Amino acid sequence: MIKRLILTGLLVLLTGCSNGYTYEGNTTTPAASVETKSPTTTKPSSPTTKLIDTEKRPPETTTWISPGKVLIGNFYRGAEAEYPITIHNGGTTGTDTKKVTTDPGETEADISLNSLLSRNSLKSIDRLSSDNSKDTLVPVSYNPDTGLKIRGFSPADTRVLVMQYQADTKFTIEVKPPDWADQAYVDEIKEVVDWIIIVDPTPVLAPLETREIMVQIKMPFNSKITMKQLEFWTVVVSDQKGQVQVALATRWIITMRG
Amino acid sequence: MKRFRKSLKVWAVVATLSLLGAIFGPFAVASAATSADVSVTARGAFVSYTAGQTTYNFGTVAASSTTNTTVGWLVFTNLSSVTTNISVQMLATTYTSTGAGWTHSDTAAGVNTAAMKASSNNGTPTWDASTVFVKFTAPYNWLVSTNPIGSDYKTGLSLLAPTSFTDGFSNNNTVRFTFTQAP
Repeated sequence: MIKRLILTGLLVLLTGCSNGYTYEGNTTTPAASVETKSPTTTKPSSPTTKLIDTEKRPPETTTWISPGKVLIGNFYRGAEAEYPITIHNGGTTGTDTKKVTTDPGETEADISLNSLLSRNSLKSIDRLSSDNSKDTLVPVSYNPDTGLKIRGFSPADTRVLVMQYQADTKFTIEVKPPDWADQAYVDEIKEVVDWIIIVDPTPVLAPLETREIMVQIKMPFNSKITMKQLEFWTVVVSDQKGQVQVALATRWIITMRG
Repeated sequence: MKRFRKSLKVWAVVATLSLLGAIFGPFAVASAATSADVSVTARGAFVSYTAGQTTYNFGTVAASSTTNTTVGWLVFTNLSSVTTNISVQMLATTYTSTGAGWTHSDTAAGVNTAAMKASSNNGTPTWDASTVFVKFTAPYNWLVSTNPIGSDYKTGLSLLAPTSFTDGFSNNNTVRFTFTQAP
């Protein structure tokens, strides 16, 4: 087994290592390619919502959501409404750099990936490189829980391994009170949050995939809310790491009947 | 032959529906499964931002100290099709640490308690009075109410270290910036 597996940093570039070994994706057929299935599978891209103005669409490699605001009018106790939010995954690649040390006789190991390998497929691996010229690395299989199984390590040796791959992105959709709307909206918002159903609150999107996620609002017959107008937000965040997080929100404004 | 005709009919229906969707789709305002007398309206706005930074290390800090990033260290670019509001919040009330972890305060530093501010002057080179507290408890503060389409917004973070602390390990927390269509 691997003795030490040390994360050495996110942005260490080792592409110029002259004495190393590099596996280029799609140029070598893996010796024993076994693809595993994750409990969460990605759907093919669905058509973008009809209301999107394609001329103002952000660049393909940036993540976006649409719409920015949904207005629900003439709402009342017992009423239902639904509308999809569209999420586009602008993320494309992951690059992991790890220091790997092998035991005597060890030539194969499971290496965890920082992001999800797209489609759980070895075809999503663009590049594997080692600074150890005795390595002849070939990806064998992938399991989201255990990582990428790689064969061809030099036993009882050490190296810095760089893995470049197409990465899926897991998003989380939260329902929350508005950050800055009129305070009158916030007081009873906890009840409103209970009305909301996100059909798929944690979608996993392939690189450049666009998907609609349905949001349903069902106001109970016995609701005691008396406000004329309510606002809540659906907030989309990706499973990004770090101290700074970007969240994209859709405002939902409900106007009650009468 | 029958099968061929049936196939043709199916394709004709599909083509007709696609054509109708293309013509009327951009003007649709309501979706199915909504109560008949309830209106649902949404206009085609995109909300999209890029962040220039995702991590920051304040380094070793002393008790009662204030440590700032440079103002403008963090640049957000509005790639949305609409003007946007930017609000800011702290994601956890306790910092993650191998020790006990500092507590976050929305208003001031204290014993084993840190606070955080964000600059709201959009990149004026030095820190000034234009700051807001990064709060854990809603309602959160906002940095700008209307950031124009295509514009950058430059901000920075300021850590108010605890007045005294017993946890000298690395303490981590996450600041969330939320982008919404402006009113």
